[in-house]
Amino acid sequence: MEESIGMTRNKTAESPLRQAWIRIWGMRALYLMLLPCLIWYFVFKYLPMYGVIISFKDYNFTDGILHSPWADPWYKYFKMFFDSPYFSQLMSNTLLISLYKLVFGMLPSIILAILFHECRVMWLKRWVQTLSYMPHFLSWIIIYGISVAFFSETTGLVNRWITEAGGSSIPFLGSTEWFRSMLVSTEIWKDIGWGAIVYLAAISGIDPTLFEAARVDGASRLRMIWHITLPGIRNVIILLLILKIGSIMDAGFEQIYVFYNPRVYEVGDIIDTWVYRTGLEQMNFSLATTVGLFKSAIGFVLVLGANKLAKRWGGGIW
Amino acid sequence: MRKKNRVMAWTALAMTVALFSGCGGGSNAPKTAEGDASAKTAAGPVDIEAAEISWGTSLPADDFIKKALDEKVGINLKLTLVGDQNDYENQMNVRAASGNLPDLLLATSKAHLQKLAQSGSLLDLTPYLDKLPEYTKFIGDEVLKKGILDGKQYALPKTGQPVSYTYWIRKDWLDNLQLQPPATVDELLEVAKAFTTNDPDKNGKNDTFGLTGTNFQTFDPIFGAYGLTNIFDTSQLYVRDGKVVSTFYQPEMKEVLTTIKSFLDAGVVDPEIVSNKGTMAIDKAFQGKVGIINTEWAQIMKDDKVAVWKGANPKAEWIQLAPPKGPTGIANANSLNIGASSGLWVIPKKLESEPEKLNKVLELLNYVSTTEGNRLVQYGVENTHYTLDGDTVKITDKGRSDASFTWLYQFTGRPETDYLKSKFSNLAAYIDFEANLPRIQTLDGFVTSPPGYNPADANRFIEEEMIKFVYGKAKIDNYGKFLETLEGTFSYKNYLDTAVSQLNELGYGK
Repeated sequence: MEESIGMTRNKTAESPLRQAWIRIWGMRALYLMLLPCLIWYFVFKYLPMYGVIISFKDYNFTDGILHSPWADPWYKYFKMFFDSPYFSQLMSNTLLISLYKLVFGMLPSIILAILFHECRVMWLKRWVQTLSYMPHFLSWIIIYGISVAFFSETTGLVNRWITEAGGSSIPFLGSTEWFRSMLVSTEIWKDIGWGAIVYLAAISGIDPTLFEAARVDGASRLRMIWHITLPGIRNVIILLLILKIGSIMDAGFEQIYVFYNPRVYEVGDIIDTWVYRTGLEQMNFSLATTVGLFKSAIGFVLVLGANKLAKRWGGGIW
Repeated sequence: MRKKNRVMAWTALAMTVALFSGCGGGSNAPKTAEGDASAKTAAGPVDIEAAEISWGTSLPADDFIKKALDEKVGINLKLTLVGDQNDYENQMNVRAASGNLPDLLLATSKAHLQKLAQSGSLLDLTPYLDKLPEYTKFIGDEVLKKGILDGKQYALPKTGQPVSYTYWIRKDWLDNLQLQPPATVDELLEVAKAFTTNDPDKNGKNDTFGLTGTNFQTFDPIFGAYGLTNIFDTSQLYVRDGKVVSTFYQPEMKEVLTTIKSFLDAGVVDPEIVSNKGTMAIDKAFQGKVGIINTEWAQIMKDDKVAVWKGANPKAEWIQLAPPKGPTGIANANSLNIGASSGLWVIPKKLESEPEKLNKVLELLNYVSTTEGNRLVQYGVENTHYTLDGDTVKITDKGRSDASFTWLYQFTGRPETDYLKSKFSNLAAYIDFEANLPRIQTLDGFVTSPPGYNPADANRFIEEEMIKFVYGKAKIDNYGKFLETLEGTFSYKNYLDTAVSQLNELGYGK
């Protein structure tokens, strides 16, 4: 008796696995197509992770990753990062700039997507949409050049208008008061159209009968946006928010490295630019890796937390 | 979405490559390398890769220098060019990390050389000097010494002098305002004031400034006028009165800062000197917005540059200014980081196991040091780009138009005066003027930072505080406090003590 119970248990434990295998086999063509992607992830995202150990080692080129001596104490490079006199400033700069970009960067894209959706003149919509995501493909160097042409204190167009109108010129690019605003606004300019694409796709996925029914009932356009469009893309907004929170420790190295100068270090120096100056320029790869690990750990925790929070409103990713 | 940041990408790249090389590494690596080398002997010309900073110069489609060198030495030479110094160093560091250095590469400074050597990537060339007779004869013993590190010949230096900057000033503006070229720092301030307020370009608009530049480099000669060096990490340490000192501890430092502040307070300096990047400062000078700039002849007087500023304003005329004298009559144009050579060629350690390749690299260096080879890399092909009249070189029109990139192949340098006289015959006076400027020799390039000293943090602090002093955001009376924080929080004291003892050991300031 006892034996037979044990056997049935074993069977029930095995059968879901087998069932899963049968399911996978049934769709083997799809899984085969997925395979290259999985391999890519494994080779380029998971394998290199073993290099993370150099954040606990005194890494040098000759000995390589495996044979470099262990750091003494093991948290040496973490300590070096936390002990930097600029640590707290770097953290707050990174978080603030990220947060500004998150808040002020998402709203305009959503609004733009809704405007596109409401636009009834098709050729205009198409043209404006194409133009709006063009800046996304410009590199930050070019955008910096454009910013200088407009906002330079001596030669910029905007400052020329200001001085001609009788005001005194404003150092948009070289003062602590303006620097973050410049970062956020250039980022918005660059990515507003690109960001709108996802929302626009989400909006076009909303069942059109909802709009028709509302129209029949005499709802105004604003009402429809409020009660149909926005709730319809709520999940996408939450999804993107969670994804972006995961990279909150990346405040945009490429942009800031091009834009900043010693006068605005105070408000513009972020973790990544610091790592660039200390880690790469001084060839201290262990330190650079340590900071990367630290950032990823925080990002990971934040994503998990945000997802849990989102689930309460029924919108988590998983 | 947003791209992952560059640091991470590079680190990841370095790690991935190192990973693969790590897997295949170990004892069998040299064997395979040797196998490769012998295989190549049979195959004909040896592939050789050389890397250096190009400063924006690119190779033409018809690269006649490469063709000639390939033929002469029996190689297939490939130049890897990177536009600017930072990018170049980063690329080489990553390649060093992956054990994939070019066969011949330029170390950008003594510090860079030190880092590469310490990481074990470099070949000690002492035993190979016998194989470089032409090269050693060409550059001489004095220059050869610059390549020695810890008693080992890790680098093969290039001859030639590093560039020197000086103030350049708009002669036509001086004439318009009936002013003399300023000879002292005080006169410089007066002229800068006149350039700012007295409408020197006579266009009826208040749209000019006296002085521009990039960051503190703008003020090199003002530091020099007080016998001090600038605040950068390449120019803080020098010998004064027989002792190694740091520029921050000199009693005149406060005076220098006060003087610079007086320039800024007077509103005669381009307000954007700190945020000027790349060529922004010199562009302003060329556009006729600023009348004085600290730069070098090649940036102003080469034909293509002249075309730019003459094009913007046909009446413009730039002249060199001797460094202005300070209150005690001292004048120095700038500092010369003698730890940094104008070019230090190094060969990676991996070539030890590829003798065929190594020999070809040495042969190449020998060849460009011979009279024949050196002429080739200076001027181009004989009878096409230049003609010989006895020993005098005459450059043809074709040579003038087609051979502007050849310096990339001047691995061992060139006899400077001869070269510049032939190539820029009309500019010899400017070149001599800058070569003979008084300069302070700085030693920072020789120093290895002690553990616990983070140069990046200290440099940021120094730069920020200095900017605060000269822009009046902090009182110069509080300079003592600045030093205290620098010594304590940023352990500059520790760095300085280490630096002094290291430099004493090298024989400086004993």
